[in-house]
Amino acid sequence: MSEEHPEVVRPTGRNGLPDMSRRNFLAAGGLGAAGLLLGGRAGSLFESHLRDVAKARVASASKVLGLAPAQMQFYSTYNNSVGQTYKALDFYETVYSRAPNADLFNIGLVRLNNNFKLVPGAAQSWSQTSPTTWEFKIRPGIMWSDGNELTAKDFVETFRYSADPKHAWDFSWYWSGIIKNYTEAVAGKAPLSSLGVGVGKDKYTFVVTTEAPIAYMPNAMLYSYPLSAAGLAKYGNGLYNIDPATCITCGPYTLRTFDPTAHVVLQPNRKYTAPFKPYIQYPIAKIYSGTYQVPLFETGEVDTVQSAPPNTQDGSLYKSDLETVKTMPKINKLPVYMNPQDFRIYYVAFKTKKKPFTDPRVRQAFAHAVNRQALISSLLAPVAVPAYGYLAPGYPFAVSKPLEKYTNYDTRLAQKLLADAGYPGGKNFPTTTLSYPAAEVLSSTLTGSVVQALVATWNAVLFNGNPTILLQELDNTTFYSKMEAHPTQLDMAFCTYGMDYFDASNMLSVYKSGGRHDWDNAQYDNLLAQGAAQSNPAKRQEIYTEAQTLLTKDAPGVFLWHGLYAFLYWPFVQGPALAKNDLGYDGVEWPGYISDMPEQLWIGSNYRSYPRAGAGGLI
Amino acid sequence: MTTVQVQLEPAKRASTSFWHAAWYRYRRNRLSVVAGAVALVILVVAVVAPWVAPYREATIDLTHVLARPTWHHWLGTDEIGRDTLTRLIWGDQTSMSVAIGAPLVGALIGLPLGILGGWFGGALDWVVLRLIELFTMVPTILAALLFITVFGVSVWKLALFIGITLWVGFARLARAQYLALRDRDFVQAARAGGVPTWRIILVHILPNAAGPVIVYFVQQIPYTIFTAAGFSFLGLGIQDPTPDWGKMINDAETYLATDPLLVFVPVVAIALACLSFSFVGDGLRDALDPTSK
Amino acid sequence: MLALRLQGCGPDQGPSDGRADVVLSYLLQRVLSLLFVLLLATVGIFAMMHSVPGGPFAFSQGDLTKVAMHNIMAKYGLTEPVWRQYLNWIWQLMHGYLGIPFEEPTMTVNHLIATAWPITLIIGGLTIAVSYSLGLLLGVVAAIRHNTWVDSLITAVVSTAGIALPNYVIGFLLIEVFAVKLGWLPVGGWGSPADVVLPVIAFSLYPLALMERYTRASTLEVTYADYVRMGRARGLSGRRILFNYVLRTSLIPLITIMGPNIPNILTGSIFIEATFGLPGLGSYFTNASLHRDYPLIMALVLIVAALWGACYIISDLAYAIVDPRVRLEGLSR
Repeated sequence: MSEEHPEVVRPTGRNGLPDMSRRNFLAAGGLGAAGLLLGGRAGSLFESHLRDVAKARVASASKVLGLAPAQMQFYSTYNNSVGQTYKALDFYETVYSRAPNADLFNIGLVRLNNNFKLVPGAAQSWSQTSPTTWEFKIRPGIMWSDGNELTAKDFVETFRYSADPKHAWDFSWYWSGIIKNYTEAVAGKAPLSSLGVGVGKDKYTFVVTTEAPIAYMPNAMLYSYPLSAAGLAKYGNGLYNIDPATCITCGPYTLRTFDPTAHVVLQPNRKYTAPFKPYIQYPIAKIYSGTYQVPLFETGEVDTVQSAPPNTQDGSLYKSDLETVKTMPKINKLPVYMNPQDFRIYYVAFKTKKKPFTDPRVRQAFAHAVNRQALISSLLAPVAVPAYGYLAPGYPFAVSKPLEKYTNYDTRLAQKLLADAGYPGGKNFPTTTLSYPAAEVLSSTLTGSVVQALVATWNAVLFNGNPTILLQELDNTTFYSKMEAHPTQLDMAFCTYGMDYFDASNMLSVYKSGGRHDWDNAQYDNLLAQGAAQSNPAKRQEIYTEAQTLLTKDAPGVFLWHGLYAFLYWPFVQGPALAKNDLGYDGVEWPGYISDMPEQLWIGSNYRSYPRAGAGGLI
Repeated sequence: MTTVQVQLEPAKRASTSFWHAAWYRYRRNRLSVVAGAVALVILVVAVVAPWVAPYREATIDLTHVLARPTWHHWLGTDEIGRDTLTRLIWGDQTSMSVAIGAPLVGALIGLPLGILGGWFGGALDWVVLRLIELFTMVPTILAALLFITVFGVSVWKLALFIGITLWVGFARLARAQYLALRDRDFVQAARAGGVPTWRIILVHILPNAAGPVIVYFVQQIPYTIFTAAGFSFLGLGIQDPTPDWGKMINDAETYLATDPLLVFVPVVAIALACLSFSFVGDGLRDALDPTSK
Repeated sequence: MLALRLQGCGPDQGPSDGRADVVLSYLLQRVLSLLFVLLLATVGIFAMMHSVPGGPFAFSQGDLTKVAMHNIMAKYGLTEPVWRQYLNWIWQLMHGYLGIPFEEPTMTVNHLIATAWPITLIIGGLTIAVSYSLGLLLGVVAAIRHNTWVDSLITAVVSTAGIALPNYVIGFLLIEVFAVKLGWLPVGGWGSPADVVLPVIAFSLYPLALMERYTRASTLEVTYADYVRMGRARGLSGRRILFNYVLRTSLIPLITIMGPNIPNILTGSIFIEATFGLPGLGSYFTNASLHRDYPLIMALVLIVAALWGACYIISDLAYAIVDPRVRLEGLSR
């Protein structure tokens, strides 16, 4: 626990993966956990580490009972395999389908702390050596478990592997248009050797050349989990890491068991040399093909449960679940932690190329006709905050207040805008269908409730109660293939997006021309390009404020709410990782294991006072 | 072991006195009569739903969500403040349309095919059997995805689609019955007596085969309600905001621990419907079986 | 083709034709015709699944660029014309290889089925044992006590618990009571023998109710049949009539109706699996179609075909064994 909150032993725990929706590539691999500890002489290192902790962090808090012994330093998380598949353990093998506890194997160039500030990872430092060149200095002495040293070559080979058309990496769009020749290489039109990645003046210097000036490169490098160059050469792909016999890691853990339908268990890497030392010895991802996670938590099968806003399909805690928890005597006294994880936006996108949505006044009318506060307090609170703009409060360069005048609840204004557009009282407005994706079986049906309330409100405010906007639920595959078709086949679509990396350029790029939606605006594209190249934060803020204003005012979508995630931890899960951050959010923040969280989370010795099922035969 | 009188009995059944006797036998079973009355109420409410529902079906009220029963809302409200009683009444219409429509479709397709196969045998039977096997192999969800892509979704289309998946059961049942009955003495006697084939099939055998068919039909009612609800889970079912009993359970399941009434109400409705139709089915079975006491 | 023919009508004439060659030629015909239907079905289903909108990677892989999507499709051989994909599939099939499921591309379909199906088979097998025996018992009791309060009570309880309550609601209640409140049994998951108890109970209620209903109906049907009356007239004991005549004969419609439920149960239920967190095969029957997992869809069609084929054949054989009036006839007509 942190010194600022010495009064209680707060439950801690990063939830293993908040497995967000598949729409979010964080999903699988997740947020997970932590890396870990243990270096070569695992035992003694661990013990000295415990002493440090006791002195430095916990000594002042008399209620702290100390750390649990090494064998109890396992951390079990709930993972849902319904609608999700776990294929591999490496980011560059697969992003959307990487297994829980991936990201603990290797060390990326950079990491975040729980205030979303970049901190060194495998790279000690980085710099922009020309407008289109970035150099990352890798910390010498990090060893792979096969005895090789981690060098720039590993990163070069990993990036080349990711662009290989034969590998068909599912996240290749991420680097397209950023790293030089990436798009061409993925299309098979340029050799992999022409990719803008290389080794610099020494073997520890990793050089990235970009297509255009990119100011936020270090942020984007959050996803730079290397595969071993030797492993890639030997096995031809990254799947060597799903077999304990062949796995090669430079992170604090090594693979113990990979059973993607039951559990993924990691154990200390005895050859670990990097300085980041987690407390948890055994991250255990328990995988269930089901959604009832609260009973699993209540009976001590897992150490934490998390919630997510609706439509993320991971069997999370919703408002109703939190109400249910209040009726459960064993757990209703536990504090509820809340944070925004991937700063998700929920919105309704219009087909702006089709009448009547070609007229911005029509779109604005819809934006003004939603009582976000009422919607949230009746259906979603506390796991949502109203969205008046596209970016969530706390997200880089987000503005909110100045945008409210374009989206506030104002039925008169909404009706006037609609009348001005030629539909007084909603007359002659064509019957239009709002489509939304079905949740996985037995996941929350909350999306259905929300869109029904939304449509009922629109029909009441804009169309005199006539059912002009209808609803259509589609199975996920159909929904996304219709929505993402060019041109889109859905007139109105309820959708959501969560960030990939912590910079405004990421979330705002969703509305770039030719992107996810059919809205195109040259001025907006231009602003995004300027923002990407600008390294002065004050100037970037100006540019992004203008972009957000433009987006909100032209209303290609109705922005509804930003999701929050709620977490419960048993009180023996402890550490500063759970304390409130600068934005006032607590619990394990995004991006979970890709942060310094593993060094800030442990199992306390008070675990004896609580139901804990034990690790079974897993460790 | 069968006497001449027994063989001739089916001929008597063809007369109106058979139906009189059946009605008489049905009336004697008090439980079936009560169940029949309940079933009738359920069906009548389904028809007159627009006039008896206390509120408009889509009226929401975000200031009164998950309300307990009051004078305004006899059965409380749901998670977006809709009157549960209203949803129940409208849901009756939807659920009954699908629950009775689908087995009807299934029976209309399956019974004739099964009867033809069972009675005539030979190549016809072979084709029917192969059709049954073919349809069994098609994955239902895949077929539903395709059906919806081509035709869209509505209550009646859903009933039609589920009905199409149900015909196989009816066909197998009818085929087995006709196979078993076609060589029975009373049929042989009718044949020998020159009764036309269609008359034997419809008048002589059908009443004898009706018992299992009726029981089967009745069992398809809850099955259909939950199949429709299952489709709703996948986004392939009846579209919101149209209420439907099965879907009401799906939606309310989230609130089972905090607002059990929301689950309880549609469950009781479905149980009442199942039970009443079951007892009606039992009564009909007994009534149509002239040999029962 | 199967021919069932009625032989006389006396209950004393057992299944007469047990001749091995008749049974063999019957089996051969059935298997051949099944293969014929299977060929037709696979062609049709292959065409169907490629006509449903949305490809296998439209949802699970996020917003892909055209090129990246093309790479993925090419990796799985999906850029070839559909007819060639079908031939490839047949070719692989003849080598006993079912392809790579898009859902779990680090496995083969063969491996996935070998992992997931045994779980489903254990749950399903126990479910059948529990529900069919208990349902039969209750059905016979209800029929013997026809139109008494016992009959009505059994019908009411069984219909309500088994038919009117969906099994995910029952599952939720079972978990709350036996796992959370009492702590007797695990909440969910797979591994220990205790993990089977709650899923089997929840899964059993519906087939149990069906079994009870049909047993009652078909037992009643037979109770008044002529030869049973004859038996009574001959002074046979009530028990002997029940077991030798009534039950044997009433099994026929049961085989017709409850037989086909066996493949259904042995392929699992997504609701049971989702409720109890079982890594079984049932959820794939839904998800393979929803996620357009072509190789898996086709493999599941094969499983269904094999199970139903076996079920039809076994129920034909069972008729002959059980029904005193029926025998197998190997002739193809």
